[in-house]
Amino acid sequence: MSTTSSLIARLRKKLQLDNRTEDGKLPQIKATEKSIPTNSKTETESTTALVGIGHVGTRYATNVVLQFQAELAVAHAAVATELDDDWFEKNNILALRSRVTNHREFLLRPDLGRRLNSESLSVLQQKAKKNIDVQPILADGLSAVATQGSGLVLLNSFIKECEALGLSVGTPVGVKFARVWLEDEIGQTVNARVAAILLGERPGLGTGDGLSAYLVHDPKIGNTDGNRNMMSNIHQRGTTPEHAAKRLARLAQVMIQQGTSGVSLDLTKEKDLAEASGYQYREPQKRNWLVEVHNDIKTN
Amino acid sequence: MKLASKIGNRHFSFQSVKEVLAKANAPRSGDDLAGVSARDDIERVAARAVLSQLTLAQLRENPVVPYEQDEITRLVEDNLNEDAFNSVKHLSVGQFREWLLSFESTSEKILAISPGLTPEMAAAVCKLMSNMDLMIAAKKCKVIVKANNTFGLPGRLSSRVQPNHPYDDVDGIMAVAREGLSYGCGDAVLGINPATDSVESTREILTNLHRLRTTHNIPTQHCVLSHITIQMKALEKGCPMDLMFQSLAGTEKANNAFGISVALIDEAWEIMKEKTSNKGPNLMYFETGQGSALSSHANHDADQVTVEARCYGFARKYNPFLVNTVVGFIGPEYLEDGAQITRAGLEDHFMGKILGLPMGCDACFTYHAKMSQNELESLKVQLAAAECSYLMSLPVGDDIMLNYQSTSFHDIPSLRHLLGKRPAPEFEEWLHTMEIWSGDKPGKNFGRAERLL
Repeated sequence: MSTTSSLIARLRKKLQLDNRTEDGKLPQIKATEKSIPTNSKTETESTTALVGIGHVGTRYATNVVLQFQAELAVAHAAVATELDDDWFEKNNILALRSRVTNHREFLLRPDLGRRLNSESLSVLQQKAKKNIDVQPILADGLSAVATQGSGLVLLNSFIKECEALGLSVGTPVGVKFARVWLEDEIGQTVNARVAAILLGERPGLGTGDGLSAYLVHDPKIGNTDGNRNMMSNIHQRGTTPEHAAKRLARLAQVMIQQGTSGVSLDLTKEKDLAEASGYQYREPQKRNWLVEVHNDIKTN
Repeated sequence: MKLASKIGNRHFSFQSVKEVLAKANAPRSGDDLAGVSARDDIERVAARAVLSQLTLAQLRENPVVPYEQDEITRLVEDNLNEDAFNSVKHLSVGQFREWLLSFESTSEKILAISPGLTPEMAAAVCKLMSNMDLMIAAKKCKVIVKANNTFGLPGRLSSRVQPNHPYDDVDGIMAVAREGLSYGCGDAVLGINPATDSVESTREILTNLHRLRTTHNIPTQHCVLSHITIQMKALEKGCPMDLMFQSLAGTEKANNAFGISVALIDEAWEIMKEKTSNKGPNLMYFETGQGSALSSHANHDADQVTVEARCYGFARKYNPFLVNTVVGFIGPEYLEDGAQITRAGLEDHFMGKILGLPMGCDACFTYHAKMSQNELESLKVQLAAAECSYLMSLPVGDDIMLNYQSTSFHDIPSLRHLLGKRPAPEFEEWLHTMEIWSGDKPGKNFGRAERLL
């Protein structure tokens, strides 16, 4: 090495532009430290938010990126999934369709998802029980995955709980491409005192399995959200379908007793319903890690 | 009224200024749903051509909802600054666009004429702008406000920490709040959307956030985004509250669906002036978002961009500390995909800024909209480059209560690093003291939430 080039090399070293070892080789790069303790255990157990995930520079570690991508893919898949056309029939549920004809239209035209198509309307008129206390409706909503998952359990438990309270229950119906307000037309057609639609809710990250339920007293076209009571997050990590069914049946009973629903329904005296508003004991929250990797390739 | 134009050999005519405004909009699923959009891109350009030659005075004379029918129209008209209006009324919308983009217009000059602009004027010029036009013009407007810290200064990028929780578990909320602060987020506000809209939970969360803020001397604001009537009751019962929040809509009818009116917000503002824990003078926090009026059938056949601008006409009465558009929140029936959400975010930020508001943006998408994480990251960079005052921040951008994807705790320091932006000055000083972030470098406590226990 000439004097000049060795001088330059030493200078580069001094300025930390060069991290070569004494023998001129590049050093092995160490894996970046990213795992950092955060908060206290009890507190991180009190939320499913992705906290304590550390960072690489200002960005996420690779395992966090993959978890996130997996969760996003699960949510998108839940939205994109369509109910098989014969799914309701196979499960002995009277199958109906909204006015929506395809999935994209379902997303872009909520107005069409709020009404039955003419064929379904006449099927409902001909085949469903009339003049009942409660009309149960199962639908896809924004996650057919949730409907196919715990939808049947929720529907059947709800019917059982209603009957246990002495309420008369209508013919269970199922609707593809349905929005919440469709319960108005269905309930009105069968002359139900309360209509209850159980449907897949807008998926969260990694959670396409949540169901929501919307109940309305005196269902009729023209009702708005202010006329309804709802319960969301019905899934194993939130309110279980069995527990939700009990509460929803009681909600229907109270609506009939008070002759109203929505903002004018008074739940202050209904302890079992107030209890479910969010302040009871919950199991510690956990986030499911979706990604597992096996690598059997032998390295020398 | 003759409103017509010719594109090549196709002739177009329009019945009203409202129709011209609607058809001039960039494509938008919500305008299709409302039945007000142009039939095709050629008609869209034809409408823009007509719009470009309307004067600002003609827009003032033709609000999209008549004065007699709507209190937002009345609020705007009755409070318009005549001196400011007189300095721009003769300009056509096309000329106004050119002035906003020229080297001639500065922040001072734009903000001087701003009180003379109606929301319809801001919306109109927006429709003639490309995305980069919107960024260039918005960046000029330095809207600086003050509460416990100074907000909206040039070269700064702030964020709201949004530690929402599906059942308002206070431990869970506080754990996420600390995590956000440890990444240098939260200089705009520590703000929670409660799952339960009750006075008790609003007071409980506010009290706990206030304790976190005072224990560590954090120069920021705190807020619980329950309905404004709930917050008013919480204040009456007594609790610390730095900012009072409400979602606003662009028409009287849509505001009624939100359970609010101009009189109610007037009353809330008065209570806030008397009882807030904030040093002031800016006390209010508003959120908006394209599509909210149509979702309550209250859009009066106007397009969603113009109705959105009217929200800002409402908001500016109250000298707010924060306003943000929750741009992709309602769903694909209003903004279908990444291109529409991106465009809407840049439009809303621009319109808010030229109407004189400290405008931020919740750049976000729901999981049933067609937008990817990469597209959302691009929008964040565009907004930050346009000097959007603040973005949201959540763990991995994931709201576990509202079920949508927004900006993350990691995105805020990333954007500051990428674009050379800094936090609000008082907060920057605090981050330095806490060894979380200094200058353009992370400190030893960066990402270490346990240091804030």
